Amino acid sequence: MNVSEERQDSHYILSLAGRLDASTSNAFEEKFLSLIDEGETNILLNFSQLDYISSSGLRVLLLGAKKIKTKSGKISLCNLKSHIMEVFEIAGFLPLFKIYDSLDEALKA
Amino acid sequence: MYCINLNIKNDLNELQRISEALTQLAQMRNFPESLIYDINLAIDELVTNIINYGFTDNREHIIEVCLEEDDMFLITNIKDDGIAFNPLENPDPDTSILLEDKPIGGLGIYFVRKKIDHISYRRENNFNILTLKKKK
Repeated sequence: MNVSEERQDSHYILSLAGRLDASTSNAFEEKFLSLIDEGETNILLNFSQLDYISSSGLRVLLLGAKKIKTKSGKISLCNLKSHIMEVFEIAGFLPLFKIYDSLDEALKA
Repeated sequence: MYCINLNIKNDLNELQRISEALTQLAQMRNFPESLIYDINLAIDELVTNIINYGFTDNREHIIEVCLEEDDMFLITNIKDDGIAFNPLENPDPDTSILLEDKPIGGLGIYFVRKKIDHISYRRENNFNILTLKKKK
């Protein structure tokens, strides 16, 4: 999996590409949680190139959501493919994040 | 009919080989993307569990994954020589719990149950054998 980063206005955007599973989630966890530790409070995850997520990936997102809440920050997601959205729904993760259809919509919010 | 056999080492980097095999199978049999995604998720969660928790030594182990079909189902058999573990006995998580109290983990086997139509487990000669059947 590849992760690219950019700051746009008040958002720190992480764009994920490939598969977020047990073999890739540790590297992502390190990057994601260290951003929150460094004080980022408005993180936007762009999933447009993310093909797959398993419970290992969701685990990292939950860790991040818990951590950023203690700093009154937020994590938003955009461009979820339908099967990824379905996994979020089954897991009961939809209420934990602001989810947008597109990057533009997420940036305007 | 065919049978695709994969010998997966107890190394998380091997998960990639499962998805590659399923992508090839999808092309060969013209299966919809959603079917392959669901099967991949189920195998991935179970094999990840076996790799992370199944072995008490540090030796290499082989997890056998076999994909086949009958008239109705895409069938996956997963066989490992790890400690006895029946995922059917795992309780479902409460997915309605809100953020602060949501437990970290415990979702993998729940996904398997949600995505697979029939699951059976047996312990045979020190092997765990799981059979997953997903309607085509």
